[in-house]
Amino acid sequence: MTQSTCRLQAVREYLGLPLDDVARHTGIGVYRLTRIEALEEEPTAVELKAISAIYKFSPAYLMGAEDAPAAPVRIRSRATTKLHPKDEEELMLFTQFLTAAGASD
Amino acid sequence: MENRHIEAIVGQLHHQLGVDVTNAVDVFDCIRRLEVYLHFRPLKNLMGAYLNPDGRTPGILINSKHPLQLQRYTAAHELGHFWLNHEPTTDAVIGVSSDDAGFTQMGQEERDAELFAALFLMPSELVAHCATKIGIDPHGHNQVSNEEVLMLSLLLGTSYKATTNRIRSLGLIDADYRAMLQKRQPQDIKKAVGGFKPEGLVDHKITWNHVVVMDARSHSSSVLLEPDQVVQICLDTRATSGHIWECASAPEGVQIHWSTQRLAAPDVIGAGVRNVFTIVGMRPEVFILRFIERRPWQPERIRNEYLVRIQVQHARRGIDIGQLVC
Repeated sequence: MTQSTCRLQAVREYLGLPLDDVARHTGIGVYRLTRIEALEEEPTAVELKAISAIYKFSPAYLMGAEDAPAAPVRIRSRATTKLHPKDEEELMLFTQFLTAAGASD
Repeated sequence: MENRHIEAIVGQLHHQLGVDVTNAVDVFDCIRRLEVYLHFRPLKNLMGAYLNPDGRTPGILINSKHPLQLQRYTAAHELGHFWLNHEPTTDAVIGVSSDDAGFTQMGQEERDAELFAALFLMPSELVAHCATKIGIDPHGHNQVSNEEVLMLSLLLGTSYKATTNRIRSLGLIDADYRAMLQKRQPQDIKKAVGGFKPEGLVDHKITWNHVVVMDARSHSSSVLLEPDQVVQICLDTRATSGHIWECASAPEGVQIHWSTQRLAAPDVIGAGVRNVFTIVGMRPEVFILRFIERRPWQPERIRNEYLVRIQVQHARRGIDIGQLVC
């Protein structure tokens, strides 16, 4: 696991999840989760599976071992002006999330 | 799609979801119950988007920086795209049409989603219920005031503008009257009712979007409140008779600040006063407040009563964990 590729904290923050919510639903303590996100401890396979079940992204993606799921973007934009790059990025991220969620069902 | 067809679809959906049409429709809860991921993110120009990348995992994205009423309308609009089987889409402008011509110029799917949103949030039964509650004649024509539309929008949980559009479509007002109503800005109406910007009560700069103003017409009603908003309840009384309004029950978790305004120049004898209660909800919860008008020396003789249910919302960000653990 390297600092540049582990996505646990980034995905949790993107989904707007407080640490204590994740802790309550995974059974992993807040302190342990914090240490895992800070790359100070390695998650077990069971812990990673529990986190992945909530975040919807695969364990491999969360740990930076694979890229985001291929997201077929088909959006018809009615924006009167060109989309802001930040909004484009948000649409791409949400599309990736939904694709991952669909694949995880 | 014909309007009456969309109306029937919305009615069926309300029925399917068991929506209570006597209170503001909880569109966010409805979306989640339909198993559509609902995601609140700070966006730049976008109001919202409906996405469904694999055709079986729908999601709605809402700009979390917008006021609650606008988020609710955007959510209902995007729900319309989903429920009417439209293609995934982004929306930079929603609900901008303030006249019939503008509405006609929209694309068909946009028009359908707009109509869906208006009907979903403001079904005719709910509008009639709320209108009656605040004293608007549901069968009257062009007889509703700016203040009454503002109160109606509060009870419906919709914007002032969306509310004027809806009562136009219901035939309570005509197009010219709507244009006249829309000329007046909500902040000017709030000031006229007695509202003001209560600086220093919350740890952010107060704008008029943060101030929800109610008066006696909204007695016994329910209002949705953002965590950073304040409610001002403006209740008039005849000070010369010794009556004042006071809060009879102040639940824990709310701060209540009292002020008073004269309703006429200081040299006018016998003029009434307006008691203004500024309320700050300290946590996401439902608070029921009761105000009574009486003379301090005759505590058992209550002249009037005002009840309000204030539902302080959680800050909306991200996806509700309830959707993720299913």
